[in-house]
Amino acid sequence: MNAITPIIMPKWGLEMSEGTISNWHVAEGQTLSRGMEIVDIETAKIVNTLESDLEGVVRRLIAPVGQTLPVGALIAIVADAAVSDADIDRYLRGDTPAQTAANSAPTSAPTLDTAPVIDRTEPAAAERAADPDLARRNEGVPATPLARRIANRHGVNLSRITGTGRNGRVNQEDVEAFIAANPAMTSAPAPAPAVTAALDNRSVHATSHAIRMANRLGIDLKRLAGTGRHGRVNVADVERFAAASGLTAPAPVASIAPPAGPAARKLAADLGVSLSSVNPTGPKGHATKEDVRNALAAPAGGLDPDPIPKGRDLVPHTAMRRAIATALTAAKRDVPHFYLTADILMDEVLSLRGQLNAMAGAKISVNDFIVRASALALGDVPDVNVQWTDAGMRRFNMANIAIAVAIEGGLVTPVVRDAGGKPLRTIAAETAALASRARDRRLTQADLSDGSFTVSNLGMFGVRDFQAIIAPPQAAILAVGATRREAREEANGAMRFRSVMSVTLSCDHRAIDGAIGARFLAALRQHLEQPLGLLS
Amino acid sequence: MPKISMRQAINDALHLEMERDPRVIVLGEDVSGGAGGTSGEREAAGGVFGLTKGLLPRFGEDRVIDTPISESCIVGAANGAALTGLRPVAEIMFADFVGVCMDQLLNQAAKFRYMFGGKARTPLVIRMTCGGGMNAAAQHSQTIYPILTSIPGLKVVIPSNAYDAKGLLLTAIRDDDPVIFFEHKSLYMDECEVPDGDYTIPFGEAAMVREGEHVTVVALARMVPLAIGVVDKLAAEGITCDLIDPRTTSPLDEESILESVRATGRLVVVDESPPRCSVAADIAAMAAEKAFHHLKAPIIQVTAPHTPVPFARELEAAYLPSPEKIEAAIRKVLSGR
Amino acid sequence: MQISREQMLRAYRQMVTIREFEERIHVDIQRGGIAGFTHLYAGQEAVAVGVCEHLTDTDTIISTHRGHGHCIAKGCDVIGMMKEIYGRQDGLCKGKGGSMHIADLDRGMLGANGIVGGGPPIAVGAAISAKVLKTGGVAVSFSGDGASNQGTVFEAMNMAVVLKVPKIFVFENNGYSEHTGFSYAVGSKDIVRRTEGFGMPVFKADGYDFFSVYEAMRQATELSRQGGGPCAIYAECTRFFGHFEGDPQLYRAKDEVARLRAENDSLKIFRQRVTEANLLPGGDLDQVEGEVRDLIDRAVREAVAAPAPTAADVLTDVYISY
Repeated sequence: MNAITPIIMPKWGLEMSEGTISNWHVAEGQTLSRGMEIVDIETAKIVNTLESDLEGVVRRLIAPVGQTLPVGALIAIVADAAVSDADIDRYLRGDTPAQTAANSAPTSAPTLDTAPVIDRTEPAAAERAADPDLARRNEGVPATPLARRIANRHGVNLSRITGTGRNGRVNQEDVEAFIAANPAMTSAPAPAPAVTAALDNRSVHATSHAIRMANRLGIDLKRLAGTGRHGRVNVADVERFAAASGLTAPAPVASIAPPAGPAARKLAADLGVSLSSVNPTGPKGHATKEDVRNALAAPAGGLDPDPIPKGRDLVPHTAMRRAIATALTAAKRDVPHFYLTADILMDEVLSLRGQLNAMAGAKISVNDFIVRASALALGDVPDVNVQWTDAGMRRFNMANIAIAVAIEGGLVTPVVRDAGGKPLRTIAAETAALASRARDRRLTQADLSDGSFTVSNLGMFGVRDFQAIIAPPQAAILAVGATRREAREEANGAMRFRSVMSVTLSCDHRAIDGAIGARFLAALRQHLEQPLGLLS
Repeated sequence: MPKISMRQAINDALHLEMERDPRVIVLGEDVSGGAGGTSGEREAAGGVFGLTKGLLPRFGEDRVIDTPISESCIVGAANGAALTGLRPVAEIMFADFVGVCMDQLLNQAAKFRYMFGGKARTPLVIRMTCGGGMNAAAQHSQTIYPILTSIPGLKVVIPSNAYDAKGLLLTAIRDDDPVIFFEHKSLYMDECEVPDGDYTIPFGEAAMVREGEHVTVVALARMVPLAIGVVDKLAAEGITCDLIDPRTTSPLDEESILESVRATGRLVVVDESPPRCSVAADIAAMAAEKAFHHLKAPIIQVTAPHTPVPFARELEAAYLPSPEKIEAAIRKVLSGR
Repeated sequence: MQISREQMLRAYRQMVTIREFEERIHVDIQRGGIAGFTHLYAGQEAVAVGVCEHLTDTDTIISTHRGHGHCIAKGCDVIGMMKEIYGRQDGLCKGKGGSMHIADLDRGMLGANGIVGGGPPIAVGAAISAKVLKTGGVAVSFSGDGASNQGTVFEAMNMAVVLKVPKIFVFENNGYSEHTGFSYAVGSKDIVRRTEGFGMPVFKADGYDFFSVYEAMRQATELSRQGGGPCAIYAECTRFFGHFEGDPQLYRAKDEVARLRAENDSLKIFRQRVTEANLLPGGDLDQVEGEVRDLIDRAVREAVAAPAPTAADVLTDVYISY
């Protein structure tokens, strides 16, 4: 009875759902040996060759070259020479051959010797592969629900079983006996010594997920002592057993994307970072918000398993890269920097922003508030709105705020002119337009010139605070960090959580003295902590 | 296997267990009915929903006790009988009526064993019909199981189908502790395959009604068949759900729910009760507390609104969770926002 | 009335035990040794003992928040009770019940009950058990004049009559439902006729006189044990202490308790009756009193020394564990 073995469309990798027959290496009647190439299959990503890991005679090639079939679909039949054609016909007529993960055993992915592990990562997909036609046919056969479930799972055609239950109904024992007598139905791959060939885990007192996990790992649940309610086997029991047996960590999610808390998930969604590209460092392998930010900062999404070794490739500089290098080297060398850091309470800004953005059409960022507040502070302390030249101090009578925008391959600093004279909404619109043009590399020289002061904001990346290099000929740049929640003691001694943002002003000491810079920060803080004034 | 209704399954279980154990008695209003009437028909009711039909002729008046309308004394007498060697199955005609016998549940049955230092056994079942869908309005439609689930010392069983109802009722009668057995009146006619003989279903073990990978849906009582329809429909689109019927809310099978939530990362809880301090809220809180890091989206509760159950057809239909609301919730939880 | 010398001595021992138990607890509460709410039974001893002297372990009683006397009369272990009231690990209920919830199911004592009117419905159930299981037992509920106004008690009386079960309702009218007088709270001022209105006979007794209660209960058990259905006993009595320990008893006239202790002390009345009729020598009664005092001393000593329950004990004896 075990002589007929189906060959099915294999599943290579997580995302393969179907494959196209590209080339048969074998013909009907040919004798297979282990390792022999059977068929080339083209997937969305690769063309790969399926090798045999069983011996027998190729009796039928079901799928012609060029045909695209779902994973698990029957593509060929292998059987002993002794099996008659009639038997094979009967087999094909009476049954769509087994297509569960367990029955994919005769095939293996030659270039991915971790194929069983990959199967484990998507058990449900493997189960879905069970033939709906079979399930429908089985529906018509008198059988207990459990028997039907097991049969569908194992690709067993119930009509081939003689039932011993009430009125000839097929029961669980019948199906299990049939499967036991038909190793072709049960020849599960053996990923580890703890594995048993025929799993009867559904009959064990275990939680649904414990059973699923055990099936994925090929663990016979009858060998486990349950610690759950009424001695039920739970996931923790299976995990313990798997660990003790040296089986791979089973969590399917973990192998695709690390677990992550809601905040990290939201940040990842906001930043457009795929969690699967995040390298988790949190407790129990969880991805933290920091990990998400790191993934964004890291090249190629942060999870290139085989990065190009350093120094092997030399990528030529772009013109922008060279310009940045030249300008900033000169600035750091020639401009005597000093740095002033201050904390600003942002609760009012956040609240006001929320109210404004709740109105139709408004979309004002925190940075827009900072730009406007900086402009007003420059008006309050005009001695910061200056440029050092050898000839004399150039003073500006309006605040042209340059905004550092990261683009691919570098950064640019388009300018919002006279930000002190423009309402928030205008600043927001201009900034959005400038940033968009920056990313599209459509900024004009006019967009980039005449800045009197720069705001560089890395808060969205979770940077707490940093020191920016002044962009000459400007004399100051404001480095803006992330707004964080921090407990602050109130005047009355109570502790209260506040939203705190650290900013660092880099000043050109040739043009600006410490006290002047400090006055600017005080003015900036006042504008941001009492932000109603920013609305005027 | 024969298909029978939940009404028949419960009636079968009562027959079976009274036959098996002479200590089992049934008491309540109109459990046989007819006493003192002018027709002389002694079994004029067999329970207002017919759940206890046939018991009086078979087991006699000593064991099938028609009581006056006295809910306090029905539960109290069941308590006392349970304390002194019988295994009473009392019936409160509508769960809403526990309002008048709450003391006997809250302060007596629930407390005996603990309060008496472990010495008391109270093998007691109180059956009560609950739930909406019959336009029975505010005092005959409630699902008050959250109130009773919140009381330590009561076990609370809420079957969603005939098979579970029979197996759970047999477990309940054989249990040595007070068990509240909720029967959703809109499920009485629902049929499924039920074995003839004796079988029990342990408390605290949820049924995994459907298996899937994308969303965990937890539903109770009549919400289970509604959820099955939705889950099966979505499966055709490739959205697959673990559909879990806890079957008992006390003890609650935390393990099965948490294992599933940890696998899917998404939870929708469907319950017919109002939302505050509900079983749905309890399950959602548990998942938030114990599976927090696995959640990919906010938990969604599909419940009735925080109002009494209304009467008019249109009002009750709007009040009760519907397949549409369940489907919308599943789609929303999949959107991640 | 038939009563043996041994029975009389035993009854007296029970009454004295109740009295000494309560007097001692009254003192120990003031010394701070006992936590919680405690309601003392002293003064009503003749009722509990007169009723329970007719009962065996097959018969069941259910008590009230004022339950120590019923427990002792039904045979609960006095030392276990004292330990329970002290909240000890080896108390009768492991320190989980306390004064208001002492129970001993092996003795047919279904518990003191903190809910006024909670007991009678439960006793109806116990009476159903006696009837169905044909134990020959009766079920007795004790209720005060306060509980006699509860709807649950009315339900229980009606159902007991409907089901014709061996159930005896004992109404102990001690004059006060908590802080409110009987004459105010019982509208008809007539518990007997109200009870008879439910369709059962009521046997009246002098609640200060053991022999009167004993005789009433003899008639009651005779009726109920022989399938005559439920009946009731009504006894007027008094409590020597307040509703609860700490009750300033502002509702009582200044000299009321002193007068009752002088004129209506059931122990004095018992002693007077048995000695005057030469039924028992006074020396025997003295000896009983001495032995009881020793017992109560020992009970307190052991209770004070007994171990307290631990935090782990909170989670035992539950139906469901998480």
